[in-house]
Amino acid sequence: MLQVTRGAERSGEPGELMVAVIDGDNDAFRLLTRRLYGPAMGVAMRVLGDRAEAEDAVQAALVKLWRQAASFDATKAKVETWFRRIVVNACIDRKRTLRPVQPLDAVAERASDAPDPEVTAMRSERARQVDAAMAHLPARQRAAIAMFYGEGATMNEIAEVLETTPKAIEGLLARARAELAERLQPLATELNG
Amino acid sequence: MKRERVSEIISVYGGFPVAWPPEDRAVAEALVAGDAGLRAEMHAAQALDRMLTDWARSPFPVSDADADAAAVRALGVPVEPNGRSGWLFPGALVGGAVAASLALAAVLLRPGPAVTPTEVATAGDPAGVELALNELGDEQAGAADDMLVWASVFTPTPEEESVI
Repeated sequence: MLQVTRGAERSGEPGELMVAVIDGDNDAFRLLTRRLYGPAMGVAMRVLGDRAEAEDAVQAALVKLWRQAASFDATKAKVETWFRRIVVNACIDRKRTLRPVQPLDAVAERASDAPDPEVTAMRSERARQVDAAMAHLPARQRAAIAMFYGEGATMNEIAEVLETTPKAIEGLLARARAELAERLQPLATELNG
Repeated sequence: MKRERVSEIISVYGGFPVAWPPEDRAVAEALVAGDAGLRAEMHAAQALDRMLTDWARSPFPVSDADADAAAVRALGVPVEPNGRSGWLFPGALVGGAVAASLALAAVLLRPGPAVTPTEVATAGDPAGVELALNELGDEQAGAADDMLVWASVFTPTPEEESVI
């Protein structure tokens, strides 16, 4: 049963919750999930471009967080950073194994036929075009763009998540931006005009 | 710093100086100010930055209920249709099943006369069953009583047999 009494005494700060999670506290895990779930879904959606796949990837990451909580080292990273790395890697693994990047037309068609009216209403034509261009990028480039522009992450932080060097991230971002600049040229011209 | 380095910074970090490496920012901005080509690069890069920022920061609504459901699934606990966790249900079900199995095994494996529910149920003659019970000790009679109840519930009558 969820241990409500123990949870009620906590501040809800991720680092403190993680300490309790390492001790096997189910309620702390639930509270920590509330803190991490939204940002994780945001990153996963941007890397995978599909809500169902994003939910699966985040679910896999949560299972890993729970089962491998003891491997978390608070002296090396914040809980949010550690979990973001798990999520991004789960997304990259999923992208690698499930299917190749979809062609532009397929993504545009799927976006326009999105069954969720909330999501459909939220997306503008511009967003759909950016989504379509993004679909051509490898998952690691999408992840880097999502962290750089979405969270203001530094090269070092992105490198840590993607387990590579800051220099490699610079190259990865430059390639991604060059590809996107070419694909989104008409839109950029429209915006600048 | 050379012009190429500024161009490289724009290609990686985009067109807004605030995103450039702090140690390069001032010099790079000075070079851009005096170079029309770099200004054009920066301007073009800013348009892309705006699109990517919108893409990366567009709201993605999730509720606490979504998060709670994900947490429960991660813990390996089923979720009931009303959305509440089913923590108690599986434990009670499994515990009840184990207790029932143990009780049944204790009755069936109890040492003593080889009386089985089938034998009791198929004796057919209630008087014969009563006689048999009288011949047993109290403890054994209690067990046989239990078996008689069990047999009366789970063994079909001749009428039921004909229907089956």
